[in-house]
Amino acid sequence: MESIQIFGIIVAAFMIFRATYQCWKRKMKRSVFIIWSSIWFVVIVVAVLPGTTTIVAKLFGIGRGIDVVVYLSIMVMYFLGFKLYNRVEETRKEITKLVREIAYMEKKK
Amino acid sequence: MKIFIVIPAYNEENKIGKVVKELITAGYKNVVVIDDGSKDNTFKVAKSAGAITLRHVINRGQGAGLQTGITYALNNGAGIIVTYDADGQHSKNDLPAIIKPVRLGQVDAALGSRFRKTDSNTPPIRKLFLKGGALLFRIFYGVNLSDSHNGFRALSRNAAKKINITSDDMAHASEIIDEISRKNIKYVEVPVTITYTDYSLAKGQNTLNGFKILWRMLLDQLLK
Repeated sequence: MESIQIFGIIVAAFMIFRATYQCWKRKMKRSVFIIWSSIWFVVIVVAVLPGTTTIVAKLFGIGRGIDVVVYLSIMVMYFLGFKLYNRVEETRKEITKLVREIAYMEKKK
Repeated sequence: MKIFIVIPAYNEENKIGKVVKELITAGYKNVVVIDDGSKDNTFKVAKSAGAITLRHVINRGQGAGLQTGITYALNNGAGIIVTYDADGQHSKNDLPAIIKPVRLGQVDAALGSRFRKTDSNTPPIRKLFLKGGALLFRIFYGVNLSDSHNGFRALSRNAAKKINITSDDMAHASEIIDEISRKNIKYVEVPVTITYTDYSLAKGQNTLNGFKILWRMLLDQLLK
């Protein structure tokens, strides 16, 4: 086994362990926990059996297994970036609403 | 018809007192100043000058301030809402002209334009940017304006209800035009004088901000 594989397994195991702990402490929603730990579970599978990515790659018509992983990661990151942007915008609007309500309440006093 | 003048103000203690007093002396009783989380005495100065004062506990930007003032005016029976700058760039002498088309019911929005006057002393670089903005409005929103970002406007009650400002920052100026276009609000441009002073230029928009607004406009168009 290559050292990168061992490294991958350790990181993934740590992430799953952390998520489990947070979920147990009720700091993470169960749905998030399931998505998060399955992502890292896939990482473990790929680390132990690198051949699996080649199977998926062939399915998509992409040459190398590792390329599939890179493409998917980029897509997931863009998606998360977009989600984050939306969330920040939402929060900004809520803060403004709150500030506005406080202004009206102060005025009424 | 009850006329409200809405002035968002951020750190304007030096100018806001004079601006408010001028308006009240000119006979406009309902002057609403929104202190947008200023670090100076803007709130106190505006209040003692006789304005109706509202305070944002933290700074949220000019767009947020405008919406706070507009909603307040609507809730207090405003028939016409005028938006006005706090830094003394606008002239009270232009008020009757900008209010008139709305009061007569000819349009629902009267938008101030500094380029419809011949004696405008707009600095060339600013002129270039504002004209560029106007061109973009034509492309994006299909609205034909000579001045893209002028804070001097008069809105009918109806228009003020329809326009919903969600951009807290300076992008609100574009958003208002976008709303006017989307909601088919009838508008007219009215020539107004903008007095550029070193003070107002230093406090106002710089060129970099122009690019930021452009970026936001593009993003909004893509995401809407």
